[in-house]
Amino acid sequence: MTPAAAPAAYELLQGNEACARAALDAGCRFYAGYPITPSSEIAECMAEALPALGGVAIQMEDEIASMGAVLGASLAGAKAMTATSGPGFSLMQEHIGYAAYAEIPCVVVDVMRAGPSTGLPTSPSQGDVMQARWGTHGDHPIIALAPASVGEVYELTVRAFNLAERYRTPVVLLYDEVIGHVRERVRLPAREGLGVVERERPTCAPAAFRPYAANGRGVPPMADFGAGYRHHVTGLAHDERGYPTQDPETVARLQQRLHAKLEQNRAEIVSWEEIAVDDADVVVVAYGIGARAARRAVALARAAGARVGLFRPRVLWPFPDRELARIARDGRRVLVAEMNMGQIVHEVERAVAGRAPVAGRHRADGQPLTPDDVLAGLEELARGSALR
Amino acid sequence: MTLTGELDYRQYLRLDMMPHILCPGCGHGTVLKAILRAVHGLGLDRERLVFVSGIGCSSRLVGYVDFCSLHTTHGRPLTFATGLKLARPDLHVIVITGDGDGLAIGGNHLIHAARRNIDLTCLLLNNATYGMTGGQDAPTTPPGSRSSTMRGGTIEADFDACQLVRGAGGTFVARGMTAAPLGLDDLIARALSHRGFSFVEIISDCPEFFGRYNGLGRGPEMLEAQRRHLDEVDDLLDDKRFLPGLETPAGPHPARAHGVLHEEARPELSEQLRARGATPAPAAGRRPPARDPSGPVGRASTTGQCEIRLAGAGGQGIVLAGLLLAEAAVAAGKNATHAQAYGPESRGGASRAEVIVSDGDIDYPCTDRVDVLVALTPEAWERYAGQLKPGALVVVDGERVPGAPASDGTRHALPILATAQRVLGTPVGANLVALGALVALSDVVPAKAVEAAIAGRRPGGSAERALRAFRAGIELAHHATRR
Repeated sequence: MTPAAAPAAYELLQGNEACARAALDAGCRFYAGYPITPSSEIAECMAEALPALGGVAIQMEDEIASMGAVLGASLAGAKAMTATSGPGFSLMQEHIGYAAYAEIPCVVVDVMRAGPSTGLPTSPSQGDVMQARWGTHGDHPIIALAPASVGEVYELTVRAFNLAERYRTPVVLLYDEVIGHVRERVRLPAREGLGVVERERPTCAPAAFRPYAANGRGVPPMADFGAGYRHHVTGLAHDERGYPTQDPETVARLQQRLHAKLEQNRAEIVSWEEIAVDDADVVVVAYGIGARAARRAVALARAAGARVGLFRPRVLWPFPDRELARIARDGRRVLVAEMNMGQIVHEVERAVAGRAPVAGRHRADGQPLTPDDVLAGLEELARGSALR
Repeated sequence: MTLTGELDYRQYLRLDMMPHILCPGCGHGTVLKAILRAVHGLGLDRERLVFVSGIGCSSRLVGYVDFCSLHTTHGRPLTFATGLKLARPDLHVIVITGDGDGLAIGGNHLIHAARRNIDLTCLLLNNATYGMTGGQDAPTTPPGSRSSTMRGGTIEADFDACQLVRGAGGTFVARGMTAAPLGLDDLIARALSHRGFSFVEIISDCPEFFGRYNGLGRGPEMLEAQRRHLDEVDDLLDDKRFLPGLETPAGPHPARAHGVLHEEARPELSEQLRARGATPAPAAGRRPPARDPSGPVGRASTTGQCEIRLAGAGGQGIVLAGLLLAEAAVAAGKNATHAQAYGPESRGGASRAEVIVSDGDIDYPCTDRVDVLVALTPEAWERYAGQLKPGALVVVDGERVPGAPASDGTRHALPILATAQRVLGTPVGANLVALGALVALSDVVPAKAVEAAIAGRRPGGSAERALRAFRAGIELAHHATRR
């Protein structure tokens, strides 16, 4: 019997371990990072596994350097990743912007702990969701994925690499400390069935290569450094040759293409889950561990006769605003449960645009949201005292 | 190396990017020509050559050369170059940085690149100022010299970049200057030929800001001053301090030598990393992942579920005990989750493991309706005794937790640490005693499955001792219930 045909076995796997395993299965061969709780298990797993696979794991002097090394490795053709938590994520922001502008595929894992500042290093939060969208300066598109279970950490880590390669963009994998450290029973899929995506590389003659000339999906084929296509990469505004430019038309065209490449392919990127939404009077919007609490709360509320559903974004950026708008209708209310002082709730309000009242249930004390928190939020909503 | 006086530089330039942005009289163009002569003279394969730079006047040079080129962020070119080189060790990677880029905002990366001895060549063009932003004070501005942010003359000491890199472990350290361009060729060629981190500080000149602010003349005068002191004092930065009316509060400036200042052989980073891959570390004893084409675990209906909370002090092995329980449950065909809560302490503090064992799907992987609580310390009892379901099974260390309830049908005060002490001669292992008691008092997981998990993980390095502690816990529970 070949290993691939061996009977599947369950494993008890930690979220951070699942992330590392998925990265390796998706073809990640370069890891650079700096130790920080609660993400360090990812670095340890990658450091143990990568050398035997012909890859490299390196501990850099800080998170700025980690992100720089990831971008350098990706330009050399390697699938590359780093993992961190809040303070380190803050330090990485400049290079995330560089990756967005120079269109360098990479995956950044942010295992969210309570902040701001050093905060509660071992405690969960969901305080970085807006930072994932707008943490770096300037207009830029970004993708951020939000798994809610160990199995989904695996699935969405693979997807993060696939999206990064397909769209030449940084992809942020955002999950809280509970999801990072919880162990759950999973059966990982066969590597052959993962649908691993590789970046499109140029096939033209080197002399004809224009490093920022887009293909039909708005994504320029990318040449590895040292592959015979001599070209320039810069964080300055650039033309299709990659040369710096201040020409307003060229600069505008670049910005429009960068945003359009995700916007035009939005349907392929956005992902969410709905549970018991069809007949719901109240729809809970939650993600990460908060969605797990909400799932239990929805089951308890349903058992008590209340018509409650769950809308769970699996991709936070681009935000599933059109999908939320579709379910917002007269007589229905929306409760956003999240582990921060109110971040995604503003996006939900923007999405439903007044078509349904929106309330928030927030927790920012370093403790995970519980089913009781969500139930309390539902009760407040029923009394009308929680409406924003 | 062959000197190539007739070299046609255009073959290495992106002529369609001209005109360049450098000011008349700037020394950086002189440096670029020296780099190209060195590259040409060594016959390096241009397809495998990558120029990396940061932000600043000198960093703009990489745009004008027809190699792969990477113009990164301010201060960080060495970080990008490190990733490039580690991912593609066959590439020649040349980093061009400035004194602000490499010594101020990027100083940390410089010392670490030197320490790692990664095979990069770093050329730091030192013009003693921030030229691109208008002549502000730099970490290389000699004391007393004027800048746009220190108009009365800077009072801070300046870096000796070569001493810094040498101190950090750089294996090739040299200094040259734009007034001696042919000498530069040689230094750069030697740096490029060096295996390991090679560093060349190149004294350049900025007539537009540093020269103008300090009355040093234009390019020719500044070069002439370099040349004069190359012959006389071997120290350009001192020269820049010999200005009319400028005092030096820091006292005499140490002379700065030029030429190759340090050269040694030391193992190179990417080679060492690759060598490690060729001889993989011994396997960690974990089973290879089993794979199933059906995808991540699917959903089942919520059915019988048991929430177990194990609590004690950090270092007692609480999280490990929970992990063994969850592993045993999965091996026994159940669904299980294991979550943990802990403080910053590796030893002491409060520690908590939460295990949920279920026949079906587990919606929420933290315990909030607790069926089983084990508490080994008073703090654990006080913090975690809440959220118990009516009739919950409680196991506490009766000798350690004053105020814990007396034993009754579902509450058990047991001498857990004392049992570990008796059986193993140390309280370390109390986690396994507690686990044994828990397993005996509940039917959540078969004892045999836990024993298999213990044998697999060998906590404390000895499966035999661990199993002894576990079985002592089972005995303890049996004894208590017989009483």
